[in-house]
Amino acid sequence: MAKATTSLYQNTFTSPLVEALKVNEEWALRTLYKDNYGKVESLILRNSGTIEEAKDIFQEAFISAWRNIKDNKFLPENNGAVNGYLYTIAKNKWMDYLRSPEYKKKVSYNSSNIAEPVHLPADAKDDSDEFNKKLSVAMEAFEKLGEACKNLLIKFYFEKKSMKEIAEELQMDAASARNKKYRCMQVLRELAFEKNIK
Amino acid sequence: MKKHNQSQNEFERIERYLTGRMDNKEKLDFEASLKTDPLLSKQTEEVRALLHAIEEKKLREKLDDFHEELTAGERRVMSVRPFQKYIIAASVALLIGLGIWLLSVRKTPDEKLFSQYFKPDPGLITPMSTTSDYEFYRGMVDYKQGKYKPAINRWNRLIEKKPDNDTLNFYLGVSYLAGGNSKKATDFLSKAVKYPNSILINEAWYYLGLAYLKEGNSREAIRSFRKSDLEESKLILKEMEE
Repeated sequence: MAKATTSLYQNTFTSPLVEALKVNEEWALRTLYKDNYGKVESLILRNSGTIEEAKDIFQEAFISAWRNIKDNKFLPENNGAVNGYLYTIAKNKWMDYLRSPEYKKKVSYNSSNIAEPVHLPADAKDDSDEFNKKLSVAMEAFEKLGEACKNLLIKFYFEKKSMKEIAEELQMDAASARNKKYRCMQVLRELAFEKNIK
Repeated sequence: MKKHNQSQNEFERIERYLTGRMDNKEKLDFEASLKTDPLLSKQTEEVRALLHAIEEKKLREKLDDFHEELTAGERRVMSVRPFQKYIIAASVALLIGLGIWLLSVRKTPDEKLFSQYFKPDPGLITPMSTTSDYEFYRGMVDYKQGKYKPAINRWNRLIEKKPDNDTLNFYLGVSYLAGGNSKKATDFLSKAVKYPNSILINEAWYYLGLAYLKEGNSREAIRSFRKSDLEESKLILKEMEE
């Protein structure tokens, strides 16, 4: 158990935090949130932002980082790399906002003072605009879904529970749970993509 | 434009592809069809957006919860003034006075506190070359990757031979706790705290406290946290005694 083996270990496997983030484990999501929010908040407060803006920017950055880790677009070697990545995304998002016409309209600001965004291995905007449009339509549709379907789909796709576990919880057999999932997905698909066809 | 019906089989095939559950051959076939079948490719993009949306919706909810916890914690820290210590002390005395029944009905806040604090112990460093204790460290590799079930299986085989090993009892307990089985967790952790010279003794009391908390047994939880020197134990005690 020599100390020197730590780094070897970390290069061989990704950290438990990263693995747990990929399957949405609550303790991992919470750790990432709590370990990083403070730093981002003080960055934004120091750079003409408000607490509400800090929260919004941090949460958007959190979602981007989480998505890229899940899609293996960013492969962190350890927890420190994850934290640095999240901070950089948040910083870039805030700088983008400060440079945006929306912000400039709000205050007269000399944009030459703003630092250039830091280069990142992968950024949140990797997905096409077309996909992002689909995504926001899908999120709106999910809101309209019945509670039973919402809960079922969350168990499958967010909590990543197995068919067996879900069937037990809902007191039905696995085949029925599977069929119910299919039907819920079809309702969601129609709500999102077929309802407003002209 | 006509409505595209999607059979359960068609949907599940797309789902298998998107969730990485296809074997190599099926995946290659699927990717080939994607190139030639515009309807399949459109539907795959749609299902991808739907799965993504479900996860993101739920995550956004969670983020707001975490934020709430974080700012609630700050407010509490700022609001504790010296005289309030007496009130806290008085309410602790009152709470103890009211007895076990009151504590045991506080199940929901206990659960909440548990999930706020619980995170698995980081584990031991896995040696690269030694062959002794191979099985133990194989389990540790699983454990560190969050695969608690295989870790438990390996260690359960070992503990039959070494029932008095403090480290084994400790990590089995924490693994069960991470896997949601707080009953088994209390069994093993209760054994792990019987070794006062163990390097993990403070951790063992802390996790035993968490296991009791998960069980809804605040009284035993408090008793265990008091025996642990860890900073986390002190923090959680402070929260419980408020």
